[in-house]
Amino acid sequence: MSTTADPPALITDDWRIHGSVYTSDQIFEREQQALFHGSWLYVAHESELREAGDYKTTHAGTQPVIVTRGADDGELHVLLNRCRHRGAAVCQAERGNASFFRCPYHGWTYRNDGPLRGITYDDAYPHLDRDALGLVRLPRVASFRGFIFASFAAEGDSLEDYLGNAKPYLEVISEQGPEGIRLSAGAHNLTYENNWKLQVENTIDNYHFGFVHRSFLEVLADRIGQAPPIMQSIMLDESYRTIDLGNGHSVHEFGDPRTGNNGGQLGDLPFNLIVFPNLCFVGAQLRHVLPKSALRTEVRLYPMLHEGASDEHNERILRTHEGFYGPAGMGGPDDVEVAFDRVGDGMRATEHDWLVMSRGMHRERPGENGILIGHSADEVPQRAFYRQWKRSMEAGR
Amino acid sequence: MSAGETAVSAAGQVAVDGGAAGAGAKEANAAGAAAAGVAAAGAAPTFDAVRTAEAAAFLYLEAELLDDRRFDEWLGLYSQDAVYWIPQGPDADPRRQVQLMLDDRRRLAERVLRLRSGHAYSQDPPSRTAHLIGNVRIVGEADGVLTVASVQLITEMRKGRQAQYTARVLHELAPVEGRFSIRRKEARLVNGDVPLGNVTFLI
Repeated sequence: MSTTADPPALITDDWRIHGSVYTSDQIFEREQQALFHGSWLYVAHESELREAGDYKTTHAGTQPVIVTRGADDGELHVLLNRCRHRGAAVCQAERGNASFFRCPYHGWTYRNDGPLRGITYDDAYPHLDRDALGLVRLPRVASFRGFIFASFAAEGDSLEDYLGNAKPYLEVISEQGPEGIRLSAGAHNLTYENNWKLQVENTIDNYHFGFVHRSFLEVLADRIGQAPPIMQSIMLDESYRTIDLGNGHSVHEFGDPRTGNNGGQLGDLPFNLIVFPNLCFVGAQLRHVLPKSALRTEVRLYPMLHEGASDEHNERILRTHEGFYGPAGMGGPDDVEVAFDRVGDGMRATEHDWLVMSRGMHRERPGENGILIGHSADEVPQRAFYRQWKRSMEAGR
Repeated sequence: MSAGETAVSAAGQVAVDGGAAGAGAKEANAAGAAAAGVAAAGAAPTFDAVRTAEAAAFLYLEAELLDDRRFDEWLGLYSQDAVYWIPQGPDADPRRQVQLMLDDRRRLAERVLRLRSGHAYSQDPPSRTAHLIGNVRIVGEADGVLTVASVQLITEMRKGRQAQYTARVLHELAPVEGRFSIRRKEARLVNGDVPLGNVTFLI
């Protein structure tokens, strides 16, 4: 089948997904215009922006943005990192504190909440509408439990409505430490040459764990002196379950989601969470997936430290995280190799360009508030994602 | 300790007496003679050619074991209380910030176990590497433990792709039974804080 750009036709009723969903530049462009434009996008955590004037540069979809706490108003703002004059990025640093941003090209200066404050040698502009030439603000910015989101769409669901059934999980995450969490430890930076959705899908894919991470399971076995119980739990323990939370969000629970700590080697959260489209929580980590092009992605893995906990406790979170994750970890790079690179190799065979995403479809059962519950190693999270993907892509047409 | 701190090795010891310790003595003599030439030309007046050559020969040995994938022998170079650190960025504080690696001896052994398991897909096929070591200097000594600075250029070839990693490296080498034992290795990659794909070969 040749590539079609018609989103509904790319996902069949029996849950086959067409390869062009991952490989097509045209679909990638449409995702940016429709899906990323219409969703609430995670941009930062409030612990990164505590003081008036604090800022952080990041991306909303593919768009470079500066997240700032206004030097005057103390409010959160998300601004396109692009001078209105000739397009240069006005802020280079990853983070810092500034009451204004000065473009290095011709010296145009902006307040850190956006408005144009000064033009150098401005007698050459007798009729310029300066009020209309501030750094472009994303029209909506909102925060839930410290997680800051922004939207390019001026209208739509409130952040709380958008998060919906994902909210209780975000609440638990925000209460991990005695006084909450903070993202002060920096982040692992990953890149791979394949589609961004593969990283989101791989975040809750318990089916792969025993295969891709077999070498890590052998390390665990050596550490605890017996075969680690995780695979048996994934396949047989009924308290391990995947849930389609609606709106594209999904969760994998492996323990009581209210009690906090799973005591395992992979981190502290007793669940993995995907917040549509590109925010994930795994172990003790906030994972921000940054699409760059159809076949290039960057990922930031931010360990979440526990506010109010001892330095030793937080150091242990960091060391545990590093054991599995990051470019030199004993787990994450195996995902890059198999789930992204080898999938990329295989999907060049486009003569038959379909994937099968139907695992456990027959045993999904409805729960309260419209959720769908499935087995731990079923492809419930992937279907949750693509249900919303399809809706978002259609809405954007 | 940083690579920028002043060398404290004893001044004026440029004699080449063939007393290189442990493995690699032959290479040490050759390197020592070359280094002594540099010192005689006045480039490094406090240069201890013999001990520098001994340290360099040991770094070459470590590199060779890594490049030959002789991981058990490589692990044997490390003391039981060894620390192996690859910082993520130039200002990385390991107590407060995430690192690429900050391993104790146990985790180093786990890495070797993983690499030998046959199921470490990120090293299947394995990276082919060559470490080129230069700028070797003894930059500290305390209780017989040498701190040795070097720059290592690591070329990696894997799946038809060539990558280059450059690290400013510090080793703390303790003399144990006529040879060195690595107490600490710190490899500051010049590209440690940019997005990377797969750094699962050992640096």
